[in-house]
Amino acid sequence: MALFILSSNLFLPVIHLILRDKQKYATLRTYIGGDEFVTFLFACLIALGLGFFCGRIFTISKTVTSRISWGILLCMIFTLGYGVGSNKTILNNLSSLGLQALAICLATIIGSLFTVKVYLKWRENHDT
Amino acid sequence: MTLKILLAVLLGGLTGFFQPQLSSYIDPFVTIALLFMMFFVGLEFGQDRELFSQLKKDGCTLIVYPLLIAFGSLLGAFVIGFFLPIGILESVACGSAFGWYSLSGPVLSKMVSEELGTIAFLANLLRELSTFLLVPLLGQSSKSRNGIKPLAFAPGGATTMDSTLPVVSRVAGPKTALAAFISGTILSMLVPFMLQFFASFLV
Repeated sequence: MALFILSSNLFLPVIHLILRDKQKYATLRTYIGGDEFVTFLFACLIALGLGFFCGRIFTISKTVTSRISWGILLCMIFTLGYGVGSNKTILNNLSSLGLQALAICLATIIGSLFTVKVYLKWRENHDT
Repeated sequence: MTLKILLAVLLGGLTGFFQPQLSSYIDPFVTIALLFMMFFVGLEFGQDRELFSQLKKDGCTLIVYPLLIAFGSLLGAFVIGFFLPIGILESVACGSAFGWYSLSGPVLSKMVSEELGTIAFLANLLRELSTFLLVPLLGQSSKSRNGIKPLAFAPGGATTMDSTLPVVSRVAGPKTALAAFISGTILSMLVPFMLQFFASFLV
């Protein structure tokens, strides 16, 4: 996460140098979220670290933590669905562009699975 | 597990469709929920004492996985581009966001066209959704290498850094979760660069 915060600040000037276009650079900076996003990432990193040290110090029953995190996870997925359902722009375009989007989505997933699988197979043969 | 997740998505979608005014209550909740999830994932990392010593043994392979995932995504998008009306390069640009829909949609609609932005948004949103559904199916039975199950986090792309990390951690254990976190971080670092690169050909 820290790496990411660094990269979002380090990579952009590099892109800026390559493209030499101030407007595009500003656009990308806005969409990455500027300061607000960095604050959020720091909060995430702190939460992760806090959890890590709590896990080192206390022994908490696995069943309890997994029950709680499963509950929160389902709530999060619910809100993801909510975001799609309440967004009119997405719903209006779903019929016309949704099929192409689905095709790209499936192609990228299958592509990723394929390369990783090929790599695993190759390593397996390489090892024996 | 997949069924419950699908049910939660559908229920959320229906609630959103019929009660869109609730969104101002739900938005802050997502941030807090994500922070809690990160805390619990951290807890799991902390309780596994051998995690980091094991990790040192296969440090190099952990960097290979995100590169393979990135290459596979681009390859898949390139191949499917031949069959789509939007074109090959556009398809690759959509695929190069690796699931980060909140960035790819606005950037492509601003830089290239509204239509491509919408497709990129939808494609990457669907990728995140299908990761939630696919990980429980792939994670339990898939092959592992040195205790890491790379097939469990390969569909997630950049989203395995935050939103889909809890599912990976739950299905495939803390070791795979740490590999997924590293892979997601590296892919997230690549996304702004990749998007700019492919979009610059289209402008």
